[in-house]
Amino acid sequence: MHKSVIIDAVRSPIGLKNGNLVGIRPDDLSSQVIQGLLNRHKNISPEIIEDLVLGCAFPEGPQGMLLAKGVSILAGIPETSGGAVINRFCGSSMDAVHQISTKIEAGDIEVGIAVGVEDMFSVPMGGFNPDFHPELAEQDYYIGMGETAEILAKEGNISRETQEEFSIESHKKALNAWENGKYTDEVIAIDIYGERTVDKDEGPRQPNIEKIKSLAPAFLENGTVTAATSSPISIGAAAILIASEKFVRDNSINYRATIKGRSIAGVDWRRMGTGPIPATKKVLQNADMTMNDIDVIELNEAFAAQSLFVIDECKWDISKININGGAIALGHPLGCSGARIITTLLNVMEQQEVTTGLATMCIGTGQGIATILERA
Amino acid sequence: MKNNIQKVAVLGSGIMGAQISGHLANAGIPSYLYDINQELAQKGKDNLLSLKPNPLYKPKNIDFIQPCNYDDHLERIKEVDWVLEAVVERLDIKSEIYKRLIPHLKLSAILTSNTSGIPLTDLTGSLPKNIKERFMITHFFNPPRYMPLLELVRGKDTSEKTYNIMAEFGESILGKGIVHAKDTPNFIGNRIGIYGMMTAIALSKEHSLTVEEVDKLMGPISGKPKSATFRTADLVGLDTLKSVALTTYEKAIEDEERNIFKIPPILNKLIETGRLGQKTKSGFYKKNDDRSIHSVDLETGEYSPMNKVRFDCFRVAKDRQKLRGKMIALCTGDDSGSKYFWEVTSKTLIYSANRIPEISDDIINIDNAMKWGFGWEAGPFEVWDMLGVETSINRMKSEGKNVPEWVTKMINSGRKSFYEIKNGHRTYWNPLDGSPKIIKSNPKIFDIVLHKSSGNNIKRDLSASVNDMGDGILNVEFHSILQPALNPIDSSYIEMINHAIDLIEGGKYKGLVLGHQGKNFSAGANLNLFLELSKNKQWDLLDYAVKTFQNTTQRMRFCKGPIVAAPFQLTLGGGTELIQPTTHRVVSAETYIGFVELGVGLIPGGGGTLRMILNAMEEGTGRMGAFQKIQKIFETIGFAKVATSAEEAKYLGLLKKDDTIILNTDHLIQTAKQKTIELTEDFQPPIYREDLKLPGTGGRTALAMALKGFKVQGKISEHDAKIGEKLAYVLTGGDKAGLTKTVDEQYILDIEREAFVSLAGENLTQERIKYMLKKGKPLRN
Repeated sequence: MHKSVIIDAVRSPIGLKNGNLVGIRPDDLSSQVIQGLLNRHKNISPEIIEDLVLGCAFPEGPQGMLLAKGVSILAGIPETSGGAVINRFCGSSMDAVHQISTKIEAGDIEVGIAVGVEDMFSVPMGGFNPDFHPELAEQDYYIGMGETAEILAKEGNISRETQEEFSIESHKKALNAWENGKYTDEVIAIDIYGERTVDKDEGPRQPNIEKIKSLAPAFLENGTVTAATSSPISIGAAAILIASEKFVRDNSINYRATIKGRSIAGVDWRRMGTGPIPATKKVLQNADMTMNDIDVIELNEAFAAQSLFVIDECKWDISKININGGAIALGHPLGCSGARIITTLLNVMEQQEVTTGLATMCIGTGQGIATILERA
Repeated sequence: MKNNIQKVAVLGSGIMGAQISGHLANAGIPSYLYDINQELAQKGKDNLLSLKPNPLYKPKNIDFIQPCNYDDHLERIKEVDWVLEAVVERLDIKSEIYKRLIPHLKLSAILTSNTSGIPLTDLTGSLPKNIKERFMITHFFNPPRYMPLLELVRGKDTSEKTYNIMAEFGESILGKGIVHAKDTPNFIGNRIGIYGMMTAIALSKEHSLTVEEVDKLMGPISGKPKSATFRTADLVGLDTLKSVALTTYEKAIEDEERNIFKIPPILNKLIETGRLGQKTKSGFYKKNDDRSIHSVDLETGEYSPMNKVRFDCFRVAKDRQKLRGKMIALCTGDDSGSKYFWEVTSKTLIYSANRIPEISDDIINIDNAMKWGFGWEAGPFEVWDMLGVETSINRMKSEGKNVPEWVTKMINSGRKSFYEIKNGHRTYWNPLDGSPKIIKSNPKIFDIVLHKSSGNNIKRDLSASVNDMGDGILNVEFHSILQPALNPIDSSYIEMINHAIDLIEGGKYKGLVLGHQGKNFSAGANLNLFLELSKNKQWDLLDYAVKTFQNTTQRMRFCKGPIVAAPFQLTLGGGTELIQPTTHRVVSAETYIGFVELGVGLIPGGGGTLRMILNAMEEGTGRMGAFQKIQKIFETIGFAKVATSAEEAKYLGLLKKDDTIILNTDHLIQTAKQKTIELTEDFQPPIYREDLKLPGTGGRTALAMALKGFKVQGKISEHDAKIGEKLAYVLTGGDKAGLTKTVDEQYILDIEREAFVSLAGENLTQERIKYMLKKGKPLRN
């Protein structure tokens, strides 16, 4: 069987509401990220890209019409490449990585790009025309994400204070990472139609403790989850160039990591935040590893309560997790986040000079997804 | 008519200047807002977004205003047709600014001052002759969006053209009520208004009445604003009140009542201790931290909790429907309240009469100033007519009061009142030559009462009438017998509308104007009726009543002649349902439209949901899908949103985009009539819609999930959620609609009615209705 490797990965800055990134079309945003990625590898001709899989949680409106192929054209990839959109909600673009690497390992293709994008401002969560099944509604299938976090907070006895501390920490780590140049290699500047350039995440900021304490619960009367302990609505894109090990060896191309394992698992949708628990178990099995082999973890911070529940349950060493900050600080542009945390994981592994990393996330509707990387 | 003023410069970005810029923006007129530095001007502009009550019809209007400063932007003065100066009330500063801007002034531009205290002759003292011709005073009242009064004062050099341009612009473009004043201290409004307040304050001590007792008598019961005397003083600011009063005291040397304008000790005491009214949280009233309100002792200046006020005269007045009855009751009781009320009122009447010809040559401008600038329901001479002029002057004389000679003369001439309708004309008494005169009619105003007086009433029912407006146009007029101010819909509205449609369909008339000249278009349905039928479980009768209303609205929609509704002020619930099915609407800018049914545990039942669906389908923004359109309606009705202006009602889909909005409410009926005549040309009623695409079950389930979310967040109650689900059922098209299906108008009406009647049967809904009827505000249960 073939091996799949990540040659490189980049992402856009993540923009927040009323921020500078709002206004760019999600297809333009994605194609700039892909171009940014390809520009770093002039020795690789776009001609050899065989497929592009793009993850997006609400692929309609400006994210519709098979966004993947359109983005591919805008990015200057020749017509000979394919394009597919994958929707697995928050896990969409991690799944895109899985799909491209699986194709490579199966020997179907040699080089492909996995992309993730979400503009949560031009396409609302739930889409433009939600049309729900009454029976599924009866079973709480459409439960609000905030409510699932409240369920976990209650079940795990996670206080509002603990959630706030976790969130403040996320911001501090992200600010620190920016100050120390930890993000310069993964973020490329985005040009907004010649009007302005955005080259920095808009989420991370010095926590205003007084304001954080004063916020009303966002989802449940007398609840513990607030806007400060939830990942903010945002816009962003990420792209990852993946090839077979044979291809990089034959062409003397440097690569950054090998994909060692993939997994998907389902859980109770009312406790969707627990998804990473079985997904991690599975991915370790698939990669034939144990948790002891994992040096660093990127755990997508949908909610502080949800992240803390997973960390407590799995008894993970918190110092290994989200070293450069997480989605509570950066934002969680749904379809982008999977590729985003893999991109960040690559950089963290290199910065920490460690070998093995895990990226995992929960998915609304009750799923978990995970990937293990080994540094080249 | 050509509008001569396309662009304006407002000098001074303080509270008045900025708000006048804001109101110009409401009228679609761009302005430069000047101050001594850019920061101040910008601040004045930004302030408009946070001021209460809101000075702008919609936030976007602020884009019409460009902040400027005198150092960098005087050049821009040459672009404007009107410069309004509203800077600090100091002659030297005003003169200096005039001097600086005059070189930049366009030859045709008009320069006016918003001064309230500086004589025009002083202002023009240093101006060159060619500027004097284009100079006058335009005095707005605060807040300028809401206060209709605009006092115009001309100097001896002011040209006819200048004066007429300002009068026309003020009336038609800004929607103001024009009062022609003279160059006398405080003009008309503040001269009489402050006299009334100072008298009320002075006499309260003599009559040993408390602050809250005075306000009880001097408020809505006597046709004055809710803030009455002392709260109005607090709102205006006691320092401002003092300075306006002193202006009269210092400048009106000949005034026989001059001493009343001296500042009483209590007012000085409050001001000296920094208690300036609302802006300092204490004045005559004090708002405590626990939000309770205390009133001041007029003797000691100490605050204490308010006492419950009881006056027999008040109780009797409260039972009277009309102001005339109330005023008579208040003046003729034998308790201390009545004695006080008569003293203040009679003194104010005499004072007003004595001001002719000093501040005005006629009674009309005085009455108008008090109605438009001080929110009095009737001016002093109208009040005098209500009390009976002869009776009251006899009483005045017996009490040793000096009745102005010209009033006695009028009575002696045989004329019984200041105003009379005679031979289809309104007439007024002219004190200058001691004879009655005809009030010149304004071609922009259709006077329904006057028109009816000359036999144009076709049919009169208890609460509504059908009138012949001439030119083949009918008018259905509301004059509720139940609540004349609010005009709740009763069966006579429905009967008169149907009668008018019968006449049109019978070919006798061509079109209909739905409108009247009362206080509010219609605050909604008659809740008492719903409650009665629900309590007695007369569901068939309730269903029949709702169906009759629905059928009437559909008849209006498909009437063979055009119907134009002319709403103004409160137009809520059923009131909204009456204006929506008409061909077109001519709407006063100050109209507050919305569906408030949720507050009483109901959803619209008279076709309101269908009308909102049709509005959205016919003109919803292109990119919106059926679900989004329905979601927007769901929020508008479900949160009982009431538009704070006609502009906002368009945004909410309560009005149509091409509906006519006008700023002068007095012009409403005439404009609506003209519009109706226009529409009769090749008129075609709309086509019955059988092709309504609505989201169906799937969309409804999505809305239900949203409701569930609101419920767990504690934003809505269980009962709110239930009402919301019914509303979602109707708006998404019940069981018949869906992405691949269509429904027709009648189906929506049927499921709307079904939902309405079933909600009326809910105990919690009945509790809400009872609470609303008793307390006048919604119960959240």
